[in-house]
Amino acid sequence: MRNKLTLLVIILLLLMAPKSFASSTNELKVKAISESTVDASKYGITNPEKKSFSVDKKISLLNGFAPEGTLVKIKHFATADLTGKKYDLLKLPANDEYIEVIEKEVIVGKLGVFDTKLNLVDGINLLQINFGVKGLEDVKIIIYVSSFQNLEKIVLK
Amino acid sequence: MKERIKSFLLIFLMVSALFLIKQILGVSGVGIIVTAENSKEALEGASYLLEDMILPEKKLISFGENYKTIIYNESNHRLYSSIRDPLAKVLSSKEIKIEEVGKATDRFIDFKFSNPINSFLLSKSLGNNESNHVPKEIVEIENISIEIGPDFNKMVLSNSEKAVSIKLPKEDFIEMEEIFTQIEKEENYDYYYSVRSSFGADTNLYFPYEITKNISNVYVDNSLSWMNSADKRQIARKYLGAALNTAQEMEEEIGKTVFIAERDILKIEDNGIIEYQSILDRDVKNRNLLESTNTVIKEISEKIPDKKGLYLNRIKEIESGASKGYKFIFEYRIMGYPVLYSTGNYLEMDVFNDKLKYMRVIERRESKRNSDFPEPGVHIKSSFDILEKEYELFKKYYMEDNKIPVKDIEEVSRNEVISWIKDTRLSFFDNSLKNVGSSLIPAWIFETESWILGFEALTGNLIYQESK
Repeated sequence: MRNKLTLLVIILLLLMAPKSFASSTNELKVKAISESTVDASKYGITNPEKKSFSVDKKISLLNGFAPEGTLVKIKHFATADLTGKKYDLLKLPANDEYIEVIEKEVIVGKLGVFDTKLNLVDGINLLQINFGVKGLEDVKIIIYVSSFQNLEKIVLK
Repeated sequence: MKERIKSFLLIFLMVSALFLIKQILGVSGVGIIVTAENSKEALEGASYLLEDMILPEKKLISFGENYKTIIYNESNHRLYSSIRDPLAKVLSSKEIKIEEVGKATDRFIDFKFSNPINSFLLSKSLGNNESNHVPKEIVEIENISIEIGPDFNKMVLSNSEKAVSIKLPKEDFIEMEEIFTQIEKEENYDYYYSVRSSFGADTNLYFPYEITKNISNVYVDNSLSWMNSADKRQIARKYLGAALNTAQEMEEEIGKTVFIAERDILKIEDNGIIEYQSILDRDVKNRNLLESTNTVIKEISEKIPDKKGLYLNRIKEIESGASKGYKFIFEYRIMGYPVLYSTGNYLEMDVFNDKLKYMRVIERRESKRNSDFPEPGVHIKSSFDILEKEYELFKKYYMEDNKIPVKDIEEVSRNEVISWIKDTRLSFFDNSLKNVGSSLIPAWIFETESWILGFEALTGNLIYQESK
């Protein structure tokens, strides 16, 4: 009776072992698939087209696309540079010199596109767009606002 | 002496003959071409003019890069007024040369009409007595684009099928460019983006990023609702003239007074509608657009008390028995925004050259305006928000219109549905439910080939639908 019981336990263990092994490999597969099947072409920014440029308006207009339900985080960074002469598109601030101005979140709806308007500041502005998808790098856009003429006059006075 | 009498008789005969020819051509309607002088005579004293009638519905301004806006109101900036002279020149000067339409600049103003407008009529509305070869080249104009270049500007006249480009000196646009720069500097406008570039859809729609401007709370009254019999007879006098003296007056049903004259019928409804019908006294075999337009202007001047916001929406060719004429459809705008009435078009007129056969007008006038609307913190939705919220509805109507079976719903792409939308415009909607102090509802109107859909601009709820 005891031997029979031991045999039953062994059989049960043998039956369960491959199953649990299989399920763990399946989970790995799912994870592996989700990472390997991130279709980067489904996420993007259509406006602005350039990733580094200068403007004379303190407005940034952003358009992009992503699958429905995507939470898009848009972070706006700037630098404390009142003269506007410290940095330009060729001479960018170091990472630790950026100050976060605002963070916006947009949930992509059924049309699969999103749009937003941001108020920029004088000097270098960095927009960092995150689609919340592993394996997909943030989109970074650098905008140099060059509307310092009036400010310069004030400073000189 | 005999010779003198002969000469005198000859001169007299010639003068008489000239006078008779002029009379015959003027009356018969065979003289299809109404000269500018004739039209001027016909319109003498008219309080409503052709130049008031033909105005673009909205203006799309591109300041370069991706900064674009849409302006509805003309009185704030007078942009269309600023291009009247160069436009008149383009449609009349013999020296105008048409060129190939090249790549557009990124600084431009598009003047968009609600529907294609006859280019000869447009030319007339600008004061041209004679038009040049340009209206023959492009018979209907839906959009006038002024592209601002460094050395010269280009005017591109276009409709859905054709476009012509004309190079013009910058001196012609000094006033327009000043207004353009002023708007650009003020930056007091809402930004719009191209749906084509954002969605990749085959469309010329533009969506706003957000609407930050107040649209005002506007109230209207229906003056017909409180009119007594004497007031109504005063209106009837305008339509029936002396025939009113012998006309039969009756109450067709509660709230509907009818005047029946020998050849005309006039209905004045308490719900704010005046409807007039007449019998043509002869067949009009050759329709004449200019003569019909003159009749429309004359009739509006005489009969419509509130002409300030009235503008031509479209003209359609019509027939009645053996006669050929035109249906003129007018819309009304407040603060530059078109008003959509639940009871139909603001004004419709069926005209057969010099004869008005049918007219229907909505009598609801602005009584009060509160500019602090919406309240702080409440925003008007963008047309994109509306489309996203009601996308399934748009898709359903698109499928019905294109006879796509329900089983193929997955096959219908987003861009197909978006490209099916022909126009979106911020408007006021009058549900015509109240006679006094009726509040106009700010609404986004989506127009397709077969539908007019109106959505409440604060909630995005569907409040009006009309199958065209």
